[in-house]
Amino acid sequence: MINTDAFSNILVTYVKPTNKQTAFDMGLSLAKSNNAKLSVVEFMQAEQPEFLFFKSKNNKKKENEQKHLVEDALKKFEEKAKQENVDLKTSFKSTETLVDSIIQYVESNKIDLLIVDHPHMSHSEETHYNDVVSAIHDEVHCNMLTLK
Amino acid sequence: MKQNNYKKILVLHGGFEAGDTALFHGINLAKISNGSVSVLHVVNIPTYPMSFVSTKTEKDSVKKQLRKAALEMKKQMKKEFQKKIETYKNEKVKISLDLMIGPTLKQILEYETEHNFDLVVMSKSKGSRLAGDRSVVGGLTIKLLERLRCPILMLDVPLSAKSIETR
Repeated sequence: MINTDAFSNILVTYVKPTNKQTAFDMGLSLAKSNNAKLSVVEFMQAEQPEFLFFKSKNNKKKENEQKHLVEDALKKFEEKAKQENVDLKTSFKSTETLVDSIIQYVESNKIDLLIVDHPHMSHSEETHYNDVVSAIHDEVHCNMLTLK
Repeated sequence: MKQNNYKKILVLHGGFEAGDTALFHGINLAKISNGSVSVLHVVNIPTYPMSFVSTKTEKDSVKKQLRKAALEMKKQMKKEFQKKIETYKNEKVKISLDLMIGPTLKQILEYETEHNFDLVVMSKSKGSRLAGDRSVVGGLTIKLLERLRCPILMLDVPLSAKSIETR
């Protein structure tokens, strides 16, 4: 008999801040079928401030707006997970280096399945995200599900 | 809730222990989603000795021998994989096996396009190359990540890369 508790600690994260639903749904479905803990972490890449070192009012306003949008999305995920009786932990972190932050989180939280989306858009964006996803694959020490 | 809809799962097995883990997880996922598993192994024919061979006759002879060796390898691997699949017969998951000869990347991409899979399961093995305890993602894996059009489950296997035959 196959052990169905193959993954016990699942993390859903995003390399591109769009199309969040698919990765979350997959994480929720796998967490439910594996009786696993689920975490959703949104890493927001900090943009270069307008005046190099100092954030302008516009910068701060834009950052706050983005933060509220993310928090709203995470709240919706929490509600959905509650309905499905899945143990969900959500968090929002600002980072300068996405790959390093993901790897650090995976290591410190003993994640055994990392779910990321792999967006396909314009050629230049695709090349950029290919590099990000490849870097995560190269560095991360856990199983990884790359959605397309 | 949107269910795990991975009905058609392709397991890429390179003939190593890491591939066994991929097979295990592939079957596990297929069981959850009532899906089926296809196991694919590609026997690659090396081309590197060709630069050391000068005449066309010699080249043809080497090619012929390599082809023969690949066919023999395919035959042996088929037996090994059938034994492996047999161990999962009680899991009530439909498992099919395909072995191919040729350039690995090309064969995998063509096979995936032809069969329209929902998920590809493969594994990387820690310590399989000269990189200490770090997992190594090779060129083939990176190309597959970029070019496969379906989701990929990459398993991180903490094993040395032993082939089926050496166990």
